[in-house]
Amino acid sequence: MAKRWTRRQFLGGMALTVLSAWAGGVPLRRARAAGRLRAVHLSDFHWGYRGAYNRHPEASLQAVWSRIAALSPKPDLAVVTGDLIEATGDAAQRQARLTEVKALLDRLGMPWHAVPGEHDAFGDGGQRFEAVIGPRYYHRRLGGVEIFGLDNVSRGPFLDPGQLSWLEHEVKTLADDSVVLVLSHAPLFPLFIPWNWYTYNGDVVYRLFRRFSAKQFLFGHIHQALDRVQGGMNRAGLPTSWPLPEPGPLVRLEPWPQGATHPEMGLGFRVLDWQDGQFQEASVYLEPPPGTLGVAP
Amino acid sequence: MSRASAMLALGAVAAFWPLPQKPPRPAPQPAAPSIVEGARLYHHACLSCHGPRGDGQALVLLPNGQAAPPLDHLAGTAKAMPELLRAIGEGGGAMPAWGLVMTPREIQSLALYVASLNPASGPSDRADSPGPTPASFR
Repeated sequence: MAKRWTRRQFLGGMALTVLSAWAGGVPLRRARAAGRLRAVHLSDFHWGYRGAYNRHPEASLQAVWSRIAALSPKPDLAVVTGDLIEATGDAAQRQARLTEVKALLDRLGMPWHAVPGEHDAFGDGGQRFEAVIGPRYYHRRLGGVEIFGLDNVSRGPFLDPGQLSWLEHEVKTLADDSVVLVLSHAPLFPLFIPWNWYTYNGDVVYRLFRRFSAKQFLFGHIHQALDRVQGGMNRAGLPTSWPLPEPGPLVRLEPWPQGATHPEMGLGFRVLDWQDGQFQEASVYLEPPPGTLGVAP
Repeated sequence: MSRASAMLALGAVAAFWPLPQKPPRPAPQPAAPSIVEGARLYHHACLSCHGPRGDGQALVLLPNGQAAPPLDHLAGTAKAMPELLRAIGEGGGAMPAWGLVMTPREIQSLALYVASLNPASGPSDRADSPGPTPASFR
């Protein structure tokens, strides 16, 4: 004979279940465990740059490409979080740089998706970027993962109203257990406003994605590895161009000349794996900064 | 408690669930444009490129390596305020069109603050000035 539960037992059991899940960090809405995806997170090539911050940017990029080719297992996808090129006021030069970067990305031999950085959009609001690289913002699906590319640079440090309306509509079509990857150039959270390391209306994006337990927000712009939990896990991609200082100690944002002894320190890429119902990340440095553990996945 | 009375109680709860909500509060009336709000917005949206004092001492350079222009000379003439409102709201060049994400009142507040950065515009002038009106924006 089945045991009857009293109301007190029932409520107590429910409370215990919820508390256990919360204390153990188990998401109450479980994401889809099925599906796997390995993504390479690239950022901030600044292709076309000539100067002291990186005297051989092509060589740095080539070194990164070689490391990606050696990855095992092979990645399914590459994502690029903006500043593919160094800004230029010359439209023909902009077109040429974007075309060259597209050819380089095609050589990776895997699908890739990119979002614009302010250098890519400078001078024409992202028109050349859209013509050569792809749309400013989009929604794709790969390996059971929903990938959203956002533009928080070309109209200003924000998502324009048309993009927000589109995003709201797209997100509504997703099931609660969807696995979500969101790409943007600038961080969606206010990392350091004095250096434009923020998105004016980024809080709206977090609100739209709030109901998903499995999500990652990938960004670039700050030229250094940084992870921050705000509205979900936010991860900054490593640059292939030059590192930037940590926010705070300096008033003005300024890179430093590339050193002769450690020319590729701080450059690299990150690898993001979605497997067995969770995300795992590893940073691959050409040369890790002091005190940083570069991991070879 | 018998099964019948339990079912009755459950039905009563279901009948009244969700509980009637309170009528929504009336939306707060928009506050008048203010320099205080403008200062807050300036530090959020303008400071990095135009400098903490609006004098062009930028904390970050534009992507082309140039600094955004100083703002502390823009006020002081009758036509300065309409031009400020237009520049902030509609942008141009590397300047974003903040009207895409800010309300007209916020843009008016921002313009008031930027105008106040002009060392030549005395406090008494500003106190007597009616400031921009919604009609003067766009």
